[in-house]
Amino acid sequence: MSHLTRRGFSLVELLIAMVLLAIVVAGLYRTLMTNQRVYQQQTQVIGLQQNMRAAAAILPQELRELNSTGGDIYAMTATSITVRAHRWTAFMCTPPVTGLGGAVGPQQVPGATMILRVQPFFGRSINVAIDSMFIRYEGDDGTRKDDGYVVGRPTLIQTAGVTCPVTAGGGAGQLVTMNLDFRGNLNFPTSIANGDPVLGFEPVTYSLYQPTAGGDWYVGLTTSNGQQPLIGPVLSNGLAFAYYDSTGAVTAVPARVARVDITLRAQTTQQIRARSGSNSLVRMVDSVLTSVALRNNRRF
Amino acid sequence: MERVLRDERGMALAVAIFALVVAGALIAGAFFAGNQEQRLGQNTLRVQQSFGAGEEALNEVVANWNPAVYNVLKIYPADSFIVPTTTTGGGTGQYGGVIRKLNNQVYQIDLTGRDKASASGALFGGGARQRIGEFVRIRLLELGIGGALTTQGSIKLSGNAYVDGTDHIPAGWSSANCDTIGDTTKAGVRAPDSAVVQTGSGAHLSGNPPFLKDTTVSSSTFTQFGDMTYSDVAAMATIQLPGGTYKTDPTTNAAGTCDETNTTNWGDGMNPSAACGSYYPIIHITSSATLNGDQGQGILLVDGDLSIQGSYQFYGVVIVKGSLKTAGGGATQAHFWGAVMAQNVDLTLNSLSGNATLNYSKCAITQALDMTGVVAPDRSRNWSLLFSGFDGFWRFH
Repeated sequence: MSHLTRRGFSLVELLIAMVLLAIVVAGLYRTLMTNQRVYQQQTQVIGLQQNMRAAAAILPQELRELNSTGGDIYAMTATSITVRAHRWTAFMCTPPVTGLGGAVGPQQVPGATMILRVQPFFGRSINVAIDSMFIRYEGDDGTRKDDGYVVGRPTLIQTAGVTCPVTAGGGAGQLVTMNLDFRGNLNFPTSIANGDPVLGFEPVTYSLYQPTAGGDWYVGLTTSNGQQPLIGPVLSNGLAFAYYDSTGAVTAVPARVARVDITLRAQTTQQIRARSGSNSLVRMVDSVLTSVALRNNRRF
Repeated sequence: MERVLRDERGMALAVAIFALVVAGALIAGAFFAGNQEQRLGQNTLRVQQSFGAGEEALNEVVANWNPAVYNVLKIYPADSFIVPTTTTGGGTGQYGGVIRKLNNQVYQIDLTGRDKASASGALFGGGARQRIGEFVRIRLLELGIGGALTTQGSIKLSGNAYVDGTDHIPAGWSSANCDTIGDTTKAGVRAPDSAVVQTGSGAHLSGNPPFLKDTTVSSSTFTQFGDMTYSDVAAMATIQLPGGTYKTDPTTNAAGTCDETNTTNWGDGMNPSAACGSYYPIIHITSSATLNGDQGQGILLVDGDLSIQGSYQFYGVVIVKGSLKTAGGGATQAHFWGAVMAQNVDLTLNSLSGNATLNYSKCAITQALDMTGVVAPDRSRNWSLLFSGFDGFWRFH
């Protein structure tokens, strides 16, 4: 029998084949769509969880370094906190002149100068426009009870040709001109020791932030450059702070805060199916509670 | 008919391959998402574990502070101590870093903690690490010094013996290293009962007041110093000696550096800029001892009686559980610069050229305590998560 005389498929055979093919394709399509939905859902959930992880990492890092007893919390509410955030650490190689003619000097010393080592220098560079500085105050060598920090406001930074004295080990330095405030500490000779640390700070606010009216809410970061979304989207009540003192009691006094509890309620960027097989679409919500003990409060 | 079917080429293989490709893509997609999530979760966990390792490391370094190693460091950047890679006590991670002596009071501990998996070096991308810094300050021994000489029992001053509670900077010492504030002037003698003081015609008491009657002086004054006991301090001693007669002088080794292995080298207070000028040992003598030359500095603890002969000079703190007796004086000015605490005292100075036996010196006391003490976290703003602007990392390294 030649090929030309071969019989083809009957109509019934063709119909059966097409039906079977349709069933297979439909199954594949359904599997594909289901998988796509699962993938999208997973992506949304991953994004949500990553948001919460970021919140659990960034906010505690910032708050952990606060010294509430030293005035680092400027303002605090249930949904926002404005703090003096640590930005850099440096070491002196030439301290500011303290005292006056060998005796106690004034509390305010405008135009005071000191030289900081260029290395090691931890953090970003000094920003004269927004930074405040805390300079370690040794006071009486014979006791730890008067140790603390005095405040400096940098007004000018010079690096060209500035070096640390050879007697202090030499090396590149940066000359800081500042307005020095002893804040009640006695300004007497040797009260600030060479080598003492200098810490730099800038004010920041963490709060709920809605970039567009009616749009999503975010955890916003406000600096001198303005406000920007940091973590989100979150619910309209997606950021809550609770403040506790050293005894564990709730406090509304910034200077008494020893612990901050941060509650974040985040949601997915897009809607996803509420559950498998459901047709209702929702934005999945999850929350995380983080407790932060402030490390730098004055202890005695 | 059978031959036709046998010769037809079907599409089963193509369909199967297509189906496998689709299924593979779907599985790969799901796996990718799951893998990403797992990695993110693990990274977050490792960061937290590394942070915990770093904090534990800080506590371990502070708790195991070794004054004989750290306090004798030269001031940064002339010197620093590299903390070798060490496994944390619980075995959950590792740490290493550096200790910098910023000045005589303040140190910076700069440690990087890593979780166990990251520290193994087997993780793709290097794993996590957290760099944490702490400023610590010498925790001064709370001696409660109220006078140049504190005693519980009898005091006999004869010859030209002179006890002065006015603050003195020892001869040859730089005033730049000595602050001028605080309780710089003390009583000459502080004792619970004035009746026990006998003063000869040539002897003098000076201070504010020259004699302070303090009924709180008791045996615990000589054995309990804040949260530390006499035994605690003795246990920290860098030099342990039995009772006997000693002549102590600074010695250097072949390299010209201070020979701290010599148990009769007690530092060089007479020459602060010399090789042993910054060596302040804690000396513990377990019985009675006699010192007949030449000098020492630091903290001297004597379980029995202490007898000083000739022109011996000591800079720092002396605590004698028994009786203190001095004799002679030679051409030098004083036997003690700092403060002395002894149960009973008999001070006699025979030399006409000498004019003092004991000068209170806040600077000598502070230097001795700074160089021998352990540390505690600074009073405030001691802790920081370090991030180096030099290598451009922001917080997470």
